[in-house]
Amino acid sequence: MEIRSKKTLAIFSLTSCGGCFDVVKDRPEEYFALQKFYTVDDLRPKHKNTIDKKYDIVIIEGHPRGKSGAERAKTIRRNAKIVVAIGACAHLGGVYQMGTLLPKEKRPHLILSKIIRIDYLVPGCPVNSDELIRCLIDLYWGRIFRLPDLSICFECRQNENNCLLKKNKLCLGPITRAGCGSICINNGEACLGCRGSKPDANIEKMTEILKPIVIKDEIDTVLTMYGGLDVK
Amino acid sequence: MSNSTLIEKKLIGRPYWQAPILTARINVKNNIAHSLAAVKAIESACNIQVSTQTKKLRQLLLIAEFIKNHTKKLYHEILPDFLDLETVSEIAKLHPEIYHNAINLIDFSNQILTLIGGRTLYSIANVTGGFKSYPTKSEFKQLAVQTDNLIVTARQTLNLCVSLKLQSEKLNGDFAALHANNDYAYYDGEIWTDAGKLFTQDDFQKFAQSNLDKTVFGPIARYNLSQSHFDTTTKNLIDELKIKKQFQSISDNIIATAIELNFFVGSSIKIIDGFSNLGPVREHIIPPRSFSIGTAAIESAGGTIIHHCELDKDGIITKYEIFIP
Ligand code: SF4
Ligand code: SF4
Ligand code: SF4
Repeated sequence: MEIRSKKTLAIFSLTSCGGCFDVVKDRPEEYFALQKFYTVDDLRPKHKNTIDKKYDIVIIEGHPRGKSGAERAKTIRRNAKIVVAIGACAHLGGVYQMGTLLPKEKRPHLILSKIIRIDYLVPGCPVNSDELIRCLIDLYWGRIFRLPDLSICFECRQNENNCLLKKNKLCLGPITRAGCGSICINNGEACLGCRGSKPDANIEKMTEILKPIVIKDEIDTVLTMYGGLDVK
Repeated sequence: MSNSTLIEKKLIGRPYWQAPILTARINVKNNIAHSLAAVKAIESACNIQVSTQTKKLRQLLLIAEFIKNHTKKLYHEILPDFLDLETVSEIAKLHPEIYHNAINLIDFSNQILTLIGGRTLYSIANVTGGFKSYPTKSEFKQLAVQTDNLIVTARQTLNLCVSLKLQSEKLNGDFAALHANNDYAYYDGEIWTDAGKLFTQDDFQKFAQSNLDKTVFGPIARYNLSQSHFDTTTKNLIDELKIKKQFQSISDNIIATAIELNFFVGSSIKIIDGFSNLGPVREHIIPPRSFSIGTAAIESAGGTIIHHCELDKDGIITKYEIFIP
């Protein structure tokens, strides 16, 4: 395929495991294919570098911790035409989000979207590499990238898994946004909601369903593993 | 606050089974090592003894992470400097054979991680008490078919590293690593230092609290303390290339990493061959028998990691401590 001209893409990391974008980098063929469309600056290890350079697209992984994290996020935003937040850390606060056992209204939700405008989101912990690549290719061609609105249950049934909830086992599939191909359930584990809630998810009803399965205090710990599943 | 401190705090009040999932996310590079350290610490606190098969599958996961990290260290960090190149894409253009060696090793590691853990990053199937899903014998057979070239690739990597003109800046300090009586220790063992101190499981906290500022961890420490436990193939390689038996300089770490890469590729092939002959047997996850205190140590590419957990009578975490070199 002839590519007209490359766009510029930078990857920045806030407080994170440093790994979301590795799902793409770890697949060298895909990563090099992406470089046909973009000049890529992976600036994750070099925190202080080139934050003032302008980019067509900036990917941010991680959670904006403290004042310095928030400032950094704002500078990155100013220099980007399009910001793509990737992973549960940027989306929901992620595994580093503290205070998640506090009552909901008291939780310090320092999520990226409350600090800067985010144009696109690719959720998950880690992100699904196919979805991230699809997002970047769509953006290159000026198309709007959309996430699926369905729940994980939809993909899970297509994959013919035995339903965990029906066996009285924990699963957040009914309220979680599809797009990972129900990878955890395919591997015998429950969906723990790393992609955040699907539109119109009924979290109260999910909590009711889980009450006979999981002890009461545990439900909140499950809903907050990746930050807060209720963040829209 | 470091990532590990944030996770330590987050774990308080959460059920024990969340520790491996959350601690894995301290650092993507060592995600398997952290999840396994957590699993082992929790199992020790819950009085769970897992099967030999579970240990083998876990060792294979850990080996895959070693192969990936060692390959990235050598090919993405060290070699570009020696070849006077900035990026991996420049290596791909100018030295395709070197680039392909790295690709093959990383691809092999990813295949193992996906087969056993369900994906390349953040294993899903590996949990406290066993595995949630199992690969089939035929999947192991398919993986075994690809392993012949990897021994050659690992060997070429070592030859390349030995041929580099390395600076020799002396390291001052003790070397510390896990040590076992009969094996090159990476999954289990006691902590040894070359100053002669020995720490058992129960002493791990004491070790983590001692002054470790000048202690050297990682490949060079493991090599110095445990190379007599390498398998015959790795020992022959060391003799053939006339590699010294004790390393002392920072650059020796490059050679130690390349030797370990050979050892881990060989070890992975042995485990894969075993499962492609007999296939893994589906086992039930072992539930906790009781809840108390547990500590465990494991080796990662960068050195020894220690996890310590304290659980209340319902299996809720009341204290969690992580030691990272
Ligand atoms: S979302 Fe998960 S994989 Fe991504 S940066 Fe955060 S912890 Fe890492
Ligand atoms: S296992 Fe979970 S995701 Fe699958 S159908 Fe049941 S509730 Fe939905
Ligand atoms: S199944 Fe659930 S927890 Fe697993 S990757 Fe998908 S959304 Fe995340």
